[in-house]
Amino acid sequence: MPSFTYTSAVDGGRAVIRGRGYLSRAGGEELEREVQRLLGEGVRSFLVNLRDTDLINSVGVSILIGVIEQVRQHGGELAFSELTTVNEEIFRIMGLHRHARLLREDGDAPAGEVKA
Amino acid sequence: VGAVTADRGAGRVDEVDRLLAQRPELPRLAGLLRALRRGSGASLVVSGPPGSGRSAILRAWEAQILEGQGVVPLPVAVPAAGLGPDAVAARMVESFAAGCFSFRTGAAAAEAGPDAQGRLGAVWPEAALALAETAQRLARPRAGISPLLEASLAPSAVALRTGLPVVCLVDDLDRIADAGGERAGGWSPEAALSRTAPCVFTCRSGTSLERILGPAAATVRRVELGPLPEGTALQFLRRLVLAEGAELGAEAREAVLELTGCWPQYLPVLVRAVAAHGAPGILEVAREYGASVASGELAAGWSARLAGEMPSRGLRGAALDLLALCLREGFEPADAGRIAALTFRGEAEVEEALAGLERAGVARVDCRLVRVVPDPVLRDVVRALHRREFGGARPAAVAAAAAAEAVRSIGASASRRRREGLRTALRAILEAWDGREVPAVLFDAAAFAARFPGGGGDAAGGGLGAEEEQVRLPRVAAAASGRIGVTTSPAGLEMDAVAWGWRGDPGEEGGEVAWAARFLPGGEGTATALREFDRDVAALQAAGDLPGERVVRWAVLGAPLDAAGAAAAAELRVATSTLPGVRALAALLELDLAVPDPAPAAARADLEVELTLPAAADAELVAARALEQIAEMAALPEAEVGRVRTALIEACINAFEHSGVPGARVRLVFTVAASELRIRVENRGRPLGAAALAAGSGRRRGWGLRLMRELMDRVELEPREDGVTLVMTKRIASGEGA
Repeated sequence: MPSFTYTSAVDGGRAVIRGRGYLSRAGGEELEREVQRLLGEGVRSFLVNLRDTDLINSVGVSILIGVIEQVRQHGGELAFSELTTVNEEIFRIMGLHRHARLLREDGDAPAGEVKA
Repeated sequence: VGAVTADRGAGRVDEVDRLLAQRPELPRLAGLLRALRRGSGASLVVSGPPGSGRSAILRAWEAQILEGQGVVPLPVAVPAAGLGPDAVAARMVESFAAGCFSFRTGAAAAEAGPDAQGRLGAVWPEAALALAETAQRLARPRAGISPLLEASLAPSAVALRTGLPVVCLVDDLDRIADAGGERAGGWSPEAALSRTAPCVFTCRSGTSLERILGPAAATVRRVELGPLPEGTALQFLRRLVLAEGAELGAEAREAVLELTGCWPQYLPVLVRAVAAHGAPGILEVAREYGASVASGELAAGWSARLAGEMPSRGLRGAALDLLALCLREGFEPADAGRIAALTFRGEAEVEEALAGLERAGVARVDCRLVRVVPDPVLRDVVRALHRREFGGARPAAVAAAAAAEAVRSIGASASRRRREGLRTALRAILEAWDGREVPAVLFDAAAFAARFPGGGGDAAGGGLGAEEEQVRLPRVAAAASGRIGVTTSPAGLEMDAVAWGWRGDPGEEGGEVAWAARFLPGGEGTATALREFDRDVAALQAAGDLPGERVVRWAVLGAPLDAAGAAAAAELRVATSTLPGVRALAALLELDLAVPDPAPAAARADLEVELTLPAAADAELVAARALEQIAEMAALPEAEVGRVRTALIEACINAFEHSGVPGARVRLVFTVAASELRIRVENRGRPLGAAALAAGSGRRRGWGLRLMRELMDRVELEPREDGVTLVMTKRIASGEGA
């Protein structure tokens, strides 16, 4: 369980951020800064891949909610992909699925990507 | 001449200084210094990588200058951080006075006492006045001016006023500047340079002189030292450590860490050196470790052996240094954690603790209750790891690995003890065999399961009658457990019990017989384990360690045979007994024996582990890793492990946040019973307020309790006078982990 790290790449106007490790307050804030930076560069479409984020706490998720709000205020959209089972459960308990799409795979089509 | 040493103190490692000062650059630097003293050269900055000998060169110059002038050094040791201006001034006065007395009287510096300044005034009024003024100024620092930098320049200012020829030697300029803050206010580096004397500074490679000296940086000459030759650095490292005496001081430790950061190959040397000054008995182990590092392997046994050599807190401190070095050397956190766990908590210690608990009646003979409370050693490790904060984000990861390893070792130890209990029982049963007949079903697990579908607990209570098909047991002469034979490979030839005897009368020609018994957990994989068992017995027979003719293979099973296992047992003609069958056999033999089950699934009952965590960032990871090990021992399904882990992390974070006392700790108690996993989280501090308890009420906080309640089966809060106890329970469904 290393501390949270991420990679970020922009391709075709969409930013793909891949997180790894423990998404706590510090990790959430790092991710928030990265999204803010990309928003400043004009990016409006975000995909946060959490396949390798094996642990999340409620503070980290709460920060993600704020990130979603910021993206929306800029007219953008943000989706999460490849959540672990328990992380998806946490997202649903905290209501993130009402604000952002949860994709099974990065490349899932919009119509079929939302996990029921 | 004033010499300022920022962080290492002067004169403690003279031999090392001389060693390091033998550098090829020295003649050229000496020429620059001579020019400087004649007033024809610019101030010098000697920079280089850590350990390249910057400070040693400075001290060597100091000695050289003073020797030529017939005066003694005036060392002022200014710590890199942590002292206010008053303390800096007081220390400077004390050091300066000590040096002055040496100069005037030729007596040892020890003559300088608390009244040194007063006595200084008697013999050298100008110096005392200058010192007093300096101290006064330092006590009222100007805003933004580094008091440490002021202090570093003060000796030469004093020397100027007293008319001494002076070159100001300032070691570690970069650290002084870093410790004292940015240059600001009215301080002018140009004025500082001009009003004092020619300076020789040292700093690390890459230091921006412009940042520290401003425009004055353009007036100084910078000389960059190359890396020190390996052999010299090696000696330096060793001597530096050894020079520090029994306790490795913080300053030396920092220096050593810095050095080893540059020269990873010296880790084994450092380990040996620390070991040598801390505990001679560790030396041999450390050598092995050094060899293992040199060969690119982590010797599996060294840390366990090291554990036995670490009896005191002082040595534990040294061990923490070793751990820090392991981290610096790029060990994986898991490896470093394992080293920490083994270093601080050897298996022998666990065994001893368990034995003590047994004697005290806390643990039963079959070791189904493993209670380790409190756990001060692990607590110390975890706290120390966090306190030291070496390696950036790694402390939590390392502490987590250490905790997981400690928990694992508790489980493994309990499992070994249960296995040993089973071996004792099997030996006693075999030794009781005297040629009598017993029901054959006791050696056919499949038939036994069919006959006793409820598990066979009642078999010993009269469920087996004389009408059963009978088998005759041999007359056993001797029984043993453990590794059998000396001529075969040591791998895989452990037997839980082996008995030798005769089918008929003792000593009868051709009547020799042996029984080899091995415990197998049962269930899936039993067929493979049975074949391995058969191969091992065959190998022992081939080696002559068991009779070549008649050896009965007896598999003692922790769980019923599956179809593949039953087929393999029939094919290989292996006698099989479940534990209830063995217990029934013991009852028939009128033996009052405990027959423990060594298998983890059956051993999960009544496990209790306590962990004490500091209320520190990411310390919840320690709890999470410990939980993973406990969950494995409890055979909790993976999906549930994730839920419990998240709930535990939330509970820890809540407890940390509500521990309103600096240095607070949170106590966790994991209890595994047959049907549930229970976690108590106790904090001391502010009680949880209503806002904190309101589920999902806050934007960033307040979700913790809601998550705990969603993810666990039961969550209870028990307010105490000095804090709150939170108890979370997860049911373990019957059949899980079987």
